[in-house]
Amino acid sequence: MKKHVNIVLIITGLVILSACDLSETIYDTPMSETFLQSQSDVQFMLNGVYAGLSSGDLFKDRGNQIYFYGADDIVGYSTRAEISDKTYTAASAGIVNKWRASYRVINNVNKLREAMENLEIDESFNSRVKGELYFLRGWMYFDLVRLFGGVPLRTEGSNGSTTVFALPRNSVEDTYNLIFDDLKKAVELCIPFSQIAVSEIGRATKGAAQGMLALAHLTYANYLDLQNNPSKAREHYELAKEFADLLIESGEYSLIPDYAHLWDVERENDAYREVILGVRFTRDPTTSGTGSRGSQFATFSMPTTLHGVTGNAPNGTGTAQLRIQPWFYDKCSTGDYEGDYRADVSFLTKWINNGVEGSYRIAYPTVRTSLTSGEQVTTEPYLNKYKDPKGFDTQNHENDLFYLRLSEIYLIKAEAENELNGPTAIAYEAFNKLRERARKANGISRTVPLDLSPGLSKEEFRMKIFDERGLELVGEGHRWFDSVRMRYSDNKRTMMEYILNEYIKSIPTGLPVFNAAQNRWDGGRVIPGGMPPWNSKYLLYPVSASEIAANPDFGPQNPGW
Amino acid sequence: MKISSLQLALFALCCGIAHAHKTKGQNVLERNISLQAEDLRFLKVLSLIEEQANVRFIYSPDAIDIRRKVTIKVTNKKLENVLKEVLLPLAVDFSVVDDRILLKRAIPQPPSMKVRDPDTSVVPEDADRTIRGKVTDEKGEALPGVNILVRGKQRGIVTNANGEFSIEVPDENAVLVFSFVGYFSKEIVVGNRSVLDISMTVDNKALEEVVVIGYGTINKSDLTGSVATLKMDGSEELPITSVEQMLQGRVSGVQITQNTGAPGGGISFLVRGANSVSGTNEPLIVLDGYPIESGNSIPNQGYSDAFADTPGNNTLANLNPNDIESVEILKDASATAIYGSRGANGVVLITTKRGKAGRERIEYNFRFDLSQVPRKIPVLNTTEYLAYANEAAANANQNPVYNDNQIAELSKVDFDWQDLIYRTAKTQNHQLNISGGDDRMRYTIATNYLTQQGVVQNSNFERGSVRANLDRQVNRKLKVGMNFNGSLSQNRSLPQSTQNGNIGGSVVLGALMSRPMRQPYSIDDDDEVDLTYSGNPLTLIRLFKDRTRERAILVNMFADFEIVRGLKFRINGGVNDRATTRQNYSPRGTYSGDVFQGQAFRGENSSFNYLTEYTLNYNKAILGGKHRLNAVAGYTWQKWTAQRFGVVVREFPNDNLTYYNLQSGNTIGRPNSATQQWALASWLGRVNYSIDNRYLITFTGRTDGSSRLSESNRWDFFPSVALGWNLHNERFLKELPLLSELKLRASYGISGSQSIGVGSTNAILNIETAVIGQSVLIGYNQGSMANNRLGWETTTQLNIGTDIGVFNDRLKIGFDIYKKRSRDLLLNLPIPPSTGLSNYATNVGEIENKGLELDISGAISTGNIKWDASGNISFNRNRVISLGDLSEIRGGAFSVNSQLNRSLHVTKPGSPIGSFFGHTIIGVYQTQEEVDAGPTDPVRPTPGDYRYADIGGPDGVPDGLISEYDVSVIGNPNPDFFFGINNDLSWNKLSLTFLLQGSIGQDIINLNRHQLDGLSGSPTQSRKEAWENRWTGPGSSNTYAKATLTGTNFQNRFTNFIVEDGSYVRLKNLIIGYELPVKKVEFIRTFKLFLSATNLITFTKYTGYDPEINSKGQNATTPGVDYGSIPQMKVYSMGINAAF
Repeated sequence: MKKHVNIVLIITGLVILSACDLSETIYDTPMSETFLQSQSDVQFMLNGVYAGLSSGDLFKDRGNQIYFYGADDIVGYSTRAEISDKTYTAASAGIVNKWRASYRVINNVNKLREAMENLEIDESFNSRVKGELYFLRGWMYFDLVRLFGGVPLRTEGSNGSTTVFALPRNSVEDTYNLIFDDLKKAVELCIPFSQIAVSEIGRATKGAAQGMLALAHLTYANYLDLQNNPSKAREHYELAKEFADLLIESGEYSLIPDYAHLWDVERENDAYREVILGVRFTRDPTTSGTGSRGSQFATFSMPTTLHGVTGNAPNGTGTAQLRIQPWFYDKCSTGDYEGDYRADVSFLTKWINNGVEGSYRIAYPTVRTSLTSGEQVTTEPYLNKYKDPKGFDTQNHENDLFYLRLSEIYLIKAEAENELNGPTAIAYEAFNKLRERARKANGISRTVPLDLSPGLSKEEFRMKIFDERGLELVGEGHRWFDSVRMRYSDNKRTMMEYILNEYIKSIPTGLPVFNAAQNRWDGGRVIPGGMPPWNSKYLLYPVSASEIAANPDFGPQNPGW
Repeated sequence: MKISSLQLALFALCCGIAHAHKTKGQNVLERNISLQAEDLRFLKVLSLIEEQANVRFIYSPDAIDIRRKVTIKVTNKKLENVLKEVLLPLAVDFSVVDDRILLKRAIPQPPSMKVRDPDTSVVPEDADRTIRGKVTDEKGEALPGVNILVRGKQRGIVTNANGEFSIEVPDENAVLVFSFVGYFSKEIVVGNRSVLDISMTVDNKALEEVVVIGYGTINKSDLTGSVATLKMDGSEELPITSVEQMLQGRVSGVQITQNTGAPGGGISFLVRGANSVSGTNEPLIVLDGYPIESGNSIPNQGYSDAFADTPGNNTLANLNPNDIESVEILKDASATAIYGSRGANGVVLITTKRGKAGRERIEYNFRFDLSQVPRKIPVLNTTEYLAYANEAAANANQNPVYNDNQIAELSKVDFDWQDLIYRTAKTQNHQLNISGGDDRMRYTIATNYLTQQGVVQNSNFERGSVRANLDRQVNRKLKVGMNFNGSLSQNRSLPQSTQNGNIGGSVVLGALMSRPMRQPYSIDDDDEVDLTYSGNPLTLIRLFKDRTRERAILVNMFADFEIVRGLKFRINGGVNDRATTRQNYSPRGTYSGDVFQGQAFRGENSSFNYLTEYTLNYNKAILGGKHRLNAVAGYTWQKWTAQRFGVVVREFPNDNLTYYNLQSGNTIGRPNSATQQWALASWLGRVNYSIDNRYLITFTGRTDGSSRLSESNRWDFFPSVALGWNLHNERFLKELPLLSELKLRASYGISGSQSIGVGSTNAILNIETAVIGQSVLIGYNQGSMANNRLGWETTTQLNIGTDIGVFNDRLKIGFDIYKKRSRDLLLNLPIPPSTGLSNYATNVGEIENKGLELDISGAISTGNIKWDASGNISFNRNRVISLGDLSEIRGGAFSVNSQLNRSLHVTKPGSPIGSFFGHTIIGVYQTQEEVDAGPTDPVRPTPGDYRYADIGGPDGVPDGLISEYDVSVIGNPNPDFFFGINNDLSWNKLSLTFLLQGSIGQDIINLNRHQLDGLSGSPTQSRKEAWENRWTGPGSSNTYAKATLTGTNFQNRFTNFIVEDGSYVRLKNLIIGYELPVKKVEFIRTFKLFLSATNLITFTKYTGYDPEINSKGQNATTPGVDYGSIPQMKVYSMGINAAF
């Protein structure tokens, strides 16, 4: 029997020996709860928040599709046609991804802010990071409110145990209040551009917060105007002007002399003298394609027959998914803008065909050098701002997305002043800063565009601002916001309604047709996509279907969707 | 003497007790015992002896009347003598087999019977002639000790050591009765023969069959669960490289689909349907008691190009099927619950061959295969293609694509590109086994080398493996042993099925889509592949390199210690180490190679786990022998470590050095590495209780604690209960002479499925790079929320079954009916994206599988022509009951040459997992009037275009508009039933085996046809059938639409048009064997030649290469797609099996 006891003891001993610990060790994955140990870790978390901006879901691709291609100046082809044609639905990738990715940034902001609270951090570092976090959150909500109206406001990080998943949408007013709050905190906490290193360009600055506040107040004021609340609108026009002034007077930024240099990837850091906020992209050697941190504007905007402008092997051509409305080109190259350097820089209407020296391709409205010269013909002009022959692949280019430039701040100032006091000298002065720079051209001064001469009505001046924004900022993602924000000169409807419902009827329909015999362009001036009949639902995008489906308390979908 | 120990023992038995001491079990018989019994039941006496002498008796209750009373009184007497004393009066013989004593009713032996030399004959009075002969066993080896009786006469004889006999018979009508323990008796009419060679057939019933179940074995008669057993005889004659292939068609309830015909390719293995949407549905594999990992371990590049889509490899590809003795498949909860959280998908127990005591046995097997593609897909020749292009242009109101001059020029070239990529592939398989041992030590060593070519040129698979098993009886109580399996394999594969639909990324698609007048080679050099042609499959075949090497080692050791009689303690421990290295290079000319100027990848996966297992087994007759208790309890601990590393390098100066010289690449991608560790601790137990061999009950339970679950939720219990009733042992059925077995079984229980990834319960940070300044910097952000409520998916299963044996088990029937409910499915429930995250993993949802299984086997003929047949048929119905708040889950999207871009599958309540989901075509619009009358279709059809069915709308009713609302379930990937019929025939030295296998009712998405049958857009190669049946004017065709240069194939919709019935019945294997008469050659035991054919004939309506296809088989939500997959091969083999 004693022997059996021994055996039992041995067995028990063996079992206990091997009854190892079941607690889980995760070696290869950083954990939310344990990652942030010290101040030096904060930087990595902050990078993670910024990472959202250059992701495919946000400004690299999907997140900007809906306003890049949703306006009247640019038409999307192939997979982008849905946005231009306005046949998108609440489930369209552009909408779903923009919504999701914006909130991802918001949640990352909230989580990092909360995690930092329990950390011993150097005060100046702490306030700078917090400033940037507030900025990023304010920015994301600002994009959301402009595209979708009032949205659920989440100011705490999500976690599995306490987060209320279903949250109703807040009013537009509440949303703007949070935006103003966040951005004001950012103005206080962020450091000015002049104090940040070149290697940090792209991070939020005091100037960026001021500029964003100016634009946000202006946009909200426009909204209030459209809501027939002029007195409250005035308050925000004042604020818009105030922040624009603060930014201009800070002396942190200046218009760079040559407009073309803004679009030269080799001078990109230099452009940040004028660029107040940019989403940075770079040729990413570590990853290819969709996941890379390079941009893809060049691929989409360049024609398929121009070699050496993108990283699209083997010939570096584009894929021409983004094209300029012929009528918009006309608008940017006639009247005030005839001979405008900015149009020369911004649009592509003639290029070497397929890399064959001496062989050319022309696009509307360029005509052949002679009746017999035989250039090949393409119907639509192209956007010429994004080119990067050194790009690594179709989705891996250096070109940044300039979100706010000083020139826009001048226009914001002019517009706010005009709305408050009509076209005063202050308004003209701010406006003409852009014309002045445009005349400087590439060092060889031009006579055009002329300064805007006084004597315009408030409404006429507003239309001038709309057109000036159209050309100065073409292809930078502003046109859609401008057309749903600004009122047409009758003060009753948006620019978008005016254009889709009225202006379009004055343009010959259909695509231009090249008449080789006469060496001229006949036919219409409109790519059908982008010009569907007016519907008031276009003023807002539908809220992401995945939010509506998973959030029963969300409330009503946007009108018409 | 060419006889094994078992035969020797049996020989001894039949020669009577006097010979018993000659057996190797004599030491057992020499044990001394003391015994006092008065009027005790025989059974009780036996158990008393068992206890004292530490032996075990084996007997069949029908043969021996164990209720008889016995009186005996012995003191310190040899067991042998005691047994004689007890057994002789009862007319019971005994013999020793290992440590067990076999009891058998003594054949009434006439006094004259004795072993005789055939040459010295005793001549009875009525003898008029002498018959001589030899008795052999089923393997042709001499069988000594066989009783031979002349029916009706008190005359008999026993074969000598060489199996020879000589007996006198009265006349030609005399009948000789041959009988031998463990063999079926045989009656032969002498006729006018004087020489009679007899081969006897093993009666499996005679020795109680033992079934391997989890953590132990059990007598088949005591089994209550649903367990399919397959002895792997004859696998060396089949051109199979993996165990699953051997199982295909032979076991009910087990659905095995070869995902691709590429060598070493993955196999999907389903036991009673799919239970899980997100996790694996592959069963747990347990090799000689060691649970081994399943699942795909091929290093992937981790981004979406063609080579990330390589179908998964095969867990069991490293195990040589010829090393396997038997496979048992545990199907119901009673059988699988002992594997707890890993049992829900069924468990496959593989037992490898072990050495047997006796003379050394050396076996050499060789096989040579020739493999071919079963058929070609008929595509257009140049003349037809040119006509098609021009007709398409005409239909689109465009000028002809080719003018007469071009047609004349191009017509000179005509390639069927399929001829360029496929070949007749050769395979060689060599196997050498040495085994042997004595009563204390047994061993087997097996080596194998396989080199298999793929039917696509330049693809092949090589494997070398060594397996060694060792068993040592250290002393009476302690036995130790080990199993070792080591293998090296190399797979040279070619990109085939791709989800992103890039034709340049699949050899099969490249061959199907290439135009017939396109030159594959450069004009100046006949043999130089034309690299300028992107999508040239020869570029991939000749230049693309993709090699995967794998090294796998599995070693385990065990020790059995008998604490007291019936109670054994077992320690089992081991390690399983697997390392895979994949290297590939895309040169210029391939898609990736062009984009990145050469791209190399090197990835290494390694996984390592160790196991310790302590079990106590108790197996004993109790309570006077009427009850039997077979119980096991134990503790196991298994811990895994998996590591991964991969790097991509691009921009090579040229394509000379490829992946061998990564440093010459200019751009280095971000490396990818991972290390994961997880562990499973378990307490397990099972009690099988049998009362009087009639009533059986089994309780099983396992508690699994997993490191993958959060602390509060870490342990889970998986119980089951089963009842069995051996009706044939009831007195009221005992009298039925035809019925040898009738058992009813019922079981109910729970098992689990491990679908939760390592770290899933934690809040994980994503690593995502950001651009700050002009640098790419590492950043971290929120990837998921902590979730400590996650648990396993659990499957409850009810199984009712019966086993029937009639005509002395010549006909056996097994029938099972089951219903499984898998609950707590691990699903990612969408949460409002405004939380910053899109989903939250929860345990919700339910899937049901229910079905019937029928197995029949019979010895149709046992005479000179032996014919054994067996068949099985299985029906399984899979249905999603609920997905929680999710209305449906779409499968991953498929692209066809960058069109389509949509998911083809839906998993939603009411339909099976992975149902096909698309538009329905109801014909072709013949006239404009028909178009106008039809529903509005945004693609603006014209006459000759497809007419789509308007099935639904936003309100669920047809809305007169063709839209996404008209998408419905258009196919079911699961068969209605599948079956196998196996036949083994033998006549003298000749044997014939054939297996018919079929699967009826499953649908297949023939995605190749989306483009091949589209006849739209820029003209690519087309299938002949589509072209010949196209619409050419009103009334011309209502099947295929008109050819046109405009538009997209099938309007960019996934349609029922390319969903086909994939039913098939095929002659899976046909083997003809001939055993050479080598009796005269002293050193050769057997020498067999065979010819075999696999997939020789297939009956199917499927228009693709082969209906057995599942290019995305590893994923439960995207089954049944044939897209660019390398087809199954038709294989002809020949070879030899020799034993020395």
